[in-house]
Amino acid sequence: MDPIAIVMMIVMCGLIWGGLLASLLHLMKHPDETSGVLGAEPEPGDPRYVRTGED
Amino acid sequence: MTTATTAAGAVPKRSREEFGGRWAFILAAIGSAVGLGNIWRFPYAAYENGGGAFVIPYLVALLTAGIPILFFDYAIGHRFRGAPPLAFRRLHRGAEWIGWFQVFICFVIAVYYAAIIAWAIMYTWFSTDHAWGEDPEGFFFGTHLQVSENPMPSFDFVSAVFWPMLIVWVICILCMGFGVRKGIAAVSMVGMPLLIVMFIVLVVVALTLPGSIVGLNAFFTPNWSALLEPGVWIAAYGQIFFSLSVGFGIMITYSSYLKRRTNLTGSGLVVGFSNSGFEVLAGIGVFSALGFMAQASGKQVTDVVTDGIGLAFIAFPTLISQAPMGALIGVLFFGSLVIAGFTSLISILEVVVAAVKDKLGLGRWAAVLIVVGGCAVISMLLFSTTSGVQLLDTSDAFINNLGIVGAALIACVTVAIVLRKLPVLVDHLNAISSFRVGTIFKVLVTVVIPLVLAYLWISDIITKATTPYEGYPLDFLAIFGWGMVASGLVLAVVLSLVPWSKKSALHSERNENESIQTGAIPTVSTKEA
Repeated sequence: MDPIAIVMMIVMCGLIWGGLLASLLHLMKHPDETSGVLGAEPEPGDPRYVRTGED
Repeated sequence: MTTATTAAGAVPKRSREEFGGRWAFILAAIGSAVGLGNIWRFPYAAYENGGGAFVIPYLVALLTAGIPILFFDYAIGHRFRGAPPLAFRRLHRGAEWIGWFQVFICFVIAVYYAAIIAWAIMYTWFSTDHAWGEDPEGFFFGTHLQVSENPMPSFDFVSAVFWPMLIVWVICILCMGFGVRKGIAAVSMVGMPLLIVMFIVLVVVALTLPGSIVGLNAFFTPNWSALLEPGVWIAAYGQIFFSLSVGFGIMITYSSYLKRRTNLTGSGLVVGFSNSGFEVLAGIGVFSALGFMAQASGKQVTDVVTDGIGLAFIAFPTLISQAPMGALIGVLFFGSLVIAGFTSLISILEVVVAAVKDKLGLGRWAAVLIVVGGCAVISMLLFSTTSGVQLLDTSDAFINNLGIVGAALIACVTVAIVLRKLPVLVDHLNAISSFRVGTIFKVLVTVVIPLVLAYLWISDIITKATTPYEGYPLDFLAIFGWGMVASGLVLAVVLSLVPWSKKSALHSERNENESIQTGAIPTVSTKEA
């Protein structure tokens, strides 16, 4: 393979698979229950929980 | 499905089906996004549009269009908790028809997608003894599909297509009847790891073929001047848009099955990059194989490169006949197409099933039998015949470019510009997600994405209006191309005018996600806390 093709192969795989790895690590660091502005809150089923936006 | 009493204690309401957890959802969403296009469209698109340099417009398109639309779909589906018609109805009464148009698109794609999976099933078997002999093209169109010269529906059934299609539909009914957790999620939890393992083995085998380096060299050598051509950037946006399964209801439907607290944007990033990661893997595998094929036949890679049906059912059989371990390559390649196709087909069908289920308040099995059973009958009547391939080609071209692009454009413009609901979606995403979105996201969904989609949409309309698609007869294109898309629009409006019954999900299903708001915990009662 030409050197430039090898470089572009590394760049393409590195950026996309690296992006996948980074997004996986990011997701594992942020559990569903505590993510976002809301942070931790009572889940449905908790005695304190009452919906305010009921349809 | 369970029932519970609302906080007001008045009306018992059903709760919606849910995925078992974030990974079940992520695998199902990846299973939907990774389909035939990843394997047979991306390698060609990248090669034709700058080779290694394509990574730049491709990544820009992923970050500025693919992932933002994915977030947009997730937010609508999760916030308004329904298949597209219900979600858009909850968003605004007048927007329901957009949801039904997305459902129509899914119906059209599902009925022809099953035929391609049926072909791939047969070719997995044909690979073991190279049934196509010396003439893969003649075998595919002549012996296998028995293609008629007249594209008008013939109803002359081809048994080698009919029976595998029947198997595909029976499996779909069985998988989907068991529901979101035990059916849809279970298929992806088994299918996706299997697909990844099979495809990695295929890539490793392809890399060992003589000439594979020639193929990889052709694939990755950058053509920097291509980056100055607007068409290359449009191709990158088109590839990202079509391969991510966004804009036609799948991600809206799947995110409606997520529990109240789900890290939507964090999950979306994983899905977006997984889809692209698989495409790059496919590019390496396909071009390694094409490099071998070029060397074996004494040609240049550019002379053997192709995409779509031509790549899968003509080029690959030729290669399988010539390559050492050809049967293994064939089984792995066509087996991968079957699995990738199945997980995508199930996600497409789920949009239609969920929409009907929501509107009529049906049970899971009843909705599956009516919807998937109906799709199966129409699918086999139209696509297991000698005219099936022309109809498939035309339906695919019109529903993808006019339908999906049009529906996504209408959805973005309606939600962001006409109804100005983008701040609600942004607040919803940020309230529960780790990766925050803000002004850039709003600009992308309001300006950049509609402009790109409008360009794709209008240029395709001009092309199809000035040149008959593939030279098919005008009456055939008027009925099955233009007419099909137009009838979908009319049907969408009509269905949106049908009232929602008391049993429907609109009236009898809880939407806990409406109470999610930014900066506060509105779900805690001051009386009880």
